[in-house]
Amino acid sequence: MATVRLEHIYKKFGDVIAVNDLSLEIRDEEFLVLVGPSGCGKTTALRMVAGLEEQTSGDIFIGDRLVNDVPPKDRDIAMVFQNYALYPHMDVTDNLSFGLKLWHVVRDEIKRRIEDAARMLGIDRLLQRKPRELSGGQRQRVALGRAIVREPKVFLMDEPLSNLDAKLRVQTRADLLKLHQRVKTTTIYVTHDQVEAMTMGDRIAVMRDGLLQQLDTPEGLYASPANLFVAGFIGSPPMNFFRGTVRQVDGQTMVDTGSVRVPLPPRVAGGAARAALGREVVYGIRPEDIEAQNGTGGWPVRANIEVVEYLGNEVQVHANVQGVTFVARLSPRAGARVGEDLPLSLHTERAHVFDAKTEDAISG
Amino acid sequence: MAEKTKWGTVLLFLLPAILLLLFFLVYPALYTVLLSFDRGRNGVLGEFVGLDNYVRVFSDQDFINLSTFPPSGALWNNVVWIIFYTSFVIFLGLIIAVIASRVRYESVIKAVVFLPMAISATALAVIWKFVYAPDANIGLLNAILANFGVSPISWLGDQGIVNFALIAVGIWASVGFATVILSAALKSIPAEITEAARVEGANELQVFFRITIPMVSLPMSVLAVTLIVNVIKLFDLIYVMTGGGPGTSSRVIAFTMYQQAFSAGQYGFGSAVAVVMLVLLLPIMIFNVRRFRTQAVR
Repeated sequence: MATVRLEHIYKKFGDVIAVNDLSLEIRDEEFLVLVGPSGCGKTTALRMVAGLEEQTSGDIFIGDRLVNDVPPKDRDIAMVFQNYALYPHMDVTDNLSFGLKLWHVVRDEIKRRIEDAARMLGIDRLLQRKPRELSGGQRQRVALGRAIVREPKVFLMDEPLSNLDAKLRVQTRADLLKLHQRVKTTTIYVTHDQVEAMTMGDRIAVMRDGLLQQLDTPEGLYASPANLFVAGFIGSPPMNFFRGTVRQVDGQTMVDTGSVRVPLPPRVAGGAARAALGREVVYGIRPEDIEAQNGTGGWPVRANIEVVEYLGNEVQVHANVQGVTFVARLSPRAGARVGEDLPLSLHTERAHVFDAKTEDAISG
Repeated sequence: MAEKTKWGTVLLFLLPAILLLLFFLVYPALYTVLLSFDRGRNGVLGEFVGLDNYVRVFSDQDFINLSTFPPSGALWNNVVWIIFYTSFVIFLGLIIAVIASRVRYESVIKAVVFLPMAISATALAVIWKFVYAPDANIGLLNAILANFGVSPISWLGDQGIVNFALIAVGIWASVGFATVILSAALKSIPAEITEAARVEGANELQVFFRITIPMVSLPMSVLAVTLIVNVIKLFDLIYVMTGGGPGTSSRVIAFTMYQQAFSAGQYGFGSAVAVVMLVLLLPIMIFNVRRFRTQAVR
């Protein structure tokens, strides 16, 4: 068990800066997710922790040990790769024991660990098989098993679920969490999928263009995104954005898009709002913070329904209010019909406001 | 819905290949087998002699002589070729492929090493005859030795050296082929697999012997079979460089076959040698066909 600390890590490939001044501390027993769109530097960051890539500058600590010049084999880490990277010429037992044999672990101990891991992962009947005789999900389990038997200080996982089909992915996600609750090994998990990040991470580090955007718990990221990118990245369907100017209207601070006016959320409406007066901002509201009007408050608007997507438990409607379009998640009983007008209420107290230039969140 | 096989059409498409094979492969092969049981005067059948030719072949000291140590004769020379040529070509090819894959100018290295493949065996035999020339004013190798004060060595004139000198040329000519094949095989190993091994605690040598080599074992065995077949059929290099000499010390099976049948006019004897060659090649061919079949199943 160990902490992992990255201090001012830079990685340059030629002129491209893949990782830009990344500082992170992963706590002992923590499950930290690195998430971001492809090319954001998350995998590069993970590979630097593994020692498969050398940082251009900065320090990496595993536990209290500076590992900048330590080769991967001596870092006491285990890595799970996206395509599993099982050794095709070895059966499952040999795949699991390969690393242990290299470290001259005694035979009885190897046997015990393999049996434990195989039982935990439900692969105990596959031990004699070669990787090509396994399904994708089984291979994935073997790859996990290979990491577990080593009992390393840190697990590094590079999109381990992305080669599984959607159903298996959801199931394996839960299995991985259960596994982590049992072995409690510090884990760094890389994914591009924000749903995976939200459901699995104790904390989530959102990256973009090599820069760390925000490091927070799933709840924190959702409730108070630090900037426009995080706000748009976390949540599905994504947050609705519209541009407007902050104005004082009838004694209330509002965002004016030109055709629509909405009030600022109360936590912004104080000093920050006064400072933002006259400035161009981006107003964000999540689809789930828009409801069909039922008299429970919220900011009323009259929307024209353009598209209705029926999902069974909810409908996602694309609504238009005087030229401003947004998506709302409504109850199927809300009676949304294409082409018709529907009164909606926006829960503006949960809205977000961002500076249009810096894209940073404005808060009170 | 399976259509009824139109055997007429099938036969029509197969006919050209079948005819060519019958005339140029099956017929000559059968004729050679028949000749090997015949005196074969002037290359035509006429006087059946039973196993006489085979007895003569295996009692010919120039073909195989097991009474000395090391053994000698054309068949033994082929064995020496197979052992040294095949293993060195694969070993050097693998080393060059691995090293080349780690540098930026990989394609240049591969092109240079592959270049001898583009030269005809006859031409490279002539080139190497010059390299091996005993006169230090002509022979590159002896000129280099002369710089170190070593007196000239008769590379192709010494019975103890000649085979190894020839094998070295063979290796030089084939390493490029092996490099290209093995380099492609190495490239097909996903980087993640070697990375996984490294993370698990393997050093470079362990990765090489426990991951890389097993994962290229199939292309390596294909390569070995190809090289062995080439060696058993080897002729041109020896014909041009030494003519089987000095004496008969650098003869190989194919050379003996040619020499006996076409120079000495001993068609029966030559045919028997050819049949021996065919028998030596058969197990390799069967091995190859089998392996392709098991691969097709996978």
